[in-house]
Amino acid sequence: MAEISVDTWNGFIFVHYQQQPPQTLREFIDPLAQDLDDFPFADFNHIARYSARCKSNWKTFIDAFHEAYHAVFLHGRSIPDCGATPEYSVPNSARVYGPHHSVSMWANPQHQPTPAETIAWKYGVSFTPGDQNSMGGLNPSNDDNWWFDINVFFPNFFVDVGPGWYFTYNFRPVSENETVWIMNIYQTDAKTPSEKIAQEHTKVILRDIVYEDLSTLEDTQEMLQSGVLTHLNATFDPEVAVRHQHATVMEWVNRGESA
Amino acid sequence: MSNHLPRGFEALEFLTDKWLLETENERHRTRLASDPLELQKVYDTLLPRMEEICDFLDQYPLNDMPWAVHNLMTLALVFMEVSPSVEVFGGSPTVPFGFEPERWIVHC
Repeated sequence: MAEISVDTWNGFIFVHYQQQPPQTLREFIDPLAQDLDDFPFADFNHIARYSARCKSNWKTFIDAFHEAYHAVFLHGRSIPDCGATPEYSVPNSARVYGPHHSVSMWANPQHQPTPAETIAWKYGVSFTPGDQNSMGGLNPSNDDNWWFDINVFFPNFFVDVGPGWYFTYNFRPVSENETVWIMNIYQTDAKTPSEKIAQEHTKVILRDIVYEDLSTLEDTQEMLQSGVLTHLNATFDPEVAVRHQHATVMEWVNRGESA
Repeated sequence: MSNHLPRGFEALEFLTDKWLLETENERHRTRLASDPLELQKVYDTLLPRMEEICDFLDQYPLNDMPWAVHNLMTLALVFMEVSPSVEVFGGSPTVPFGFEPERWIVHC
């Protein structure tokens, strides 16, 4: 069996298929990793894992998760006041770090919490926008009305961080048109029963929102595979992450074996 | 009716037949298999008691609760599980136009 290299960052295990990678893990993931250095990963517990196998190319899958404006349409039910606020469609800020990037989401200051959400915020923290604590490693551009950060480690690993929770996505290509997707959610240690109940709200609403995200992928793949459209535009500002991902993939593919 | 819950929470006892479910996967699958009226009933029963439940539970350590108190905690988690159906999905047990639940694996 061939040996591969592994290294870790904040408990995450990264694999490199060369025995002697040309650079260290840290060299590869900086400076995106630096933005997250103060985030207290060690204080978090794993609280949920979801997975699905989807007939979608891995890049199409990823695109559905790192642009922001889909929320206005796709999440109009689960987070209703997204649809009424066009600003929501534009990320607050975005950063490009070599092959990696991060995008900060805009939070609607007029967000109206549901009754369950109100209970969650009274006793703890929920996924939906609300009072923020001063956890480090968040909001790298100091945006106003900041909600959470989408951190994309090229090629296929997301670490989305918020105040009191974070979640990861792994996108594992099975073939050119099929991907296994895995989501893990982490939260800080609940100290009281009521805090645990609040955390359950984060988990449940986040899960149901992502059910919506996965609903479009196979239709998109089918449309792309039909070949009817020869080009898709990604020139809209909120698609900056999509543009960067595709440019990076093309660059790496065209570099060929030497990469 | 047997007493699965602490004294003072007898009005919630009818929920214990179906909803004393330990894992998220069990609670989620049960939500998906319930009809909208039942989810509304669970929600309407628990919502006005939720703050009282949270304050009551906070008298106990999270990981060392008497059996009946633990059952009450489970019902509070059930409230969170059914809340999106009632609050934002128009009563639907599934996420409307969402990915097929049969293909979505809840691992915990």
